[in-house]
Amino acid sequence: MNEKRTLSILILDDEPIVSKRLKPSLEKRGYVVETFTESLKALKRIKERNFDIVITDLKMEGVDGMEFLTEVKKRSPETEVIVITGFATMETAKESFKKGVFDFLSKPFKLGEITEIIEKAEEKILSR
Amino acid sequence: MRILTAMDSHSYSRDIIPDVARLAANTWADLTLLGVQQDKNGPDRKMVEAMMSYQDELLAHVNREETLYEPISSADLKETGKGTWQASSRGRKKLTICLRAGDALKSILAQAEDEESDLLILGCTRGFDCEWENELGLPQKVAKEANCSVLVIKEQKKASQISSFLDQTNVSQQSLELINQLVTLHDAGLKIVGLKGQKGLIGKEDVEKKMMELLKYYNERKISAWIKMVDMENLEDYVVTATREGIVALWVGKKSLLSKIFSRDLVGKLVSRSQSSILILR
Repeated sequence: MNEKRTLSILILDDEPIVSKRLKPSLEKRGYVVETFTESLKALKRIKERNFDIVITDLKMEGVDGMEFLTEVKKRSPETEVIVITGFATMETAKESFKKGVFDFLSKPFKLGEITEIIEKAEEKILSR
Repeated sequence: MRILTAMDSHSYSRDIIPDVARLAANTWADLTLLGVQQDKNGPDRKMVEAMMSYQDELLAHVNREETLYEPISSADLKETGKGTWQASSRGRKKLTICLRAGDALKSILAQAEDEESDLLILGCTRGFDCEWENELGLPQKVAKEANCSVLVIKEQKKASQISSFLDQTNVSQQSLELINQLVTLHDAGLKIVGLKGQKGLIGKEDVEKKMMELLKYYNERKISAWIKMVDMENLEDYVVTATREGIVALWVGKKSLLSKIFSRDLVGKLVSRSQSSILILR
């Protein structure tokens, strides 16, 4: 019998509380999670390895989320990117989708909402 | 984000649709339109017609450039509990139409609890003593009793200023984020109101530091924000004055000092006295 593949997730948000909330919950569900609050460090990390799922904030100092997700998709088109933002506009949502993001979630969000989206992304990844 | 919008059959409910649509389109929220009816035997025909008409108008606004929500047909409404009929569609985001029979306040609060809504929106009559579905004071009661944030829209007009009363020492990230969405929606300036006691700032050093952090937080996000210090004893009057200048956002979460000043009763009174839209953050 095939063992279920363990998916890797990178979370980038300059609000530490986001990673603090998400990491333990996702690890409990069996994902391997790396968290970053600085986009430059996250950028360095995605150059070292690919992740199955990337969750990124949009508005950050340094490299902003849009540039970051562009870089992720350029390096690894198979990676499913979920954008979270506290400053959502129709334009940013549209631009995100043009760049091929899997889903777009506005803050504040419940843990259940993001885990539901991650599960859908997982289904897509595992069905390939 | 999960938004619950309570709609009755009056014109102010229709008037809030552009605001709800913009907020939904900006945030890609899961959205529920809730109607309350008296008849417990089945969906009230007039209410169903009103909800379908609200849906059409909402989708015309939201789906203008991108299909965010798929339409729901009235035939899809199914009984999901005693006196509750519901239908949902799964577009990019989830849209739900729900009808509940019974007491309006209990129905709205129950739906918000069931859905774990982040934000509950309702319109009401203008001026003092707001009405909803001919019930005097219902918006106040909803703002007072709900466990989630509540936006009461009294007048559908673009605000150029949002005054936020946050209790700067303890404000939750979730509340800051909801204010961010409101500021983005209205493209408004943000006045951050800090509290002074009789001897100056309460917990002076900590508060000054927190206020500066808040200002930095917003300035880094390119939001035009400024600070105004207010004597605690004048706070209630100042909040009412601020409702004349634009939207007021008041954080009354469990840890908020403002929840001690603004009891749930006072929150209700504030909604009543407010001359514009008011956002109660929890």
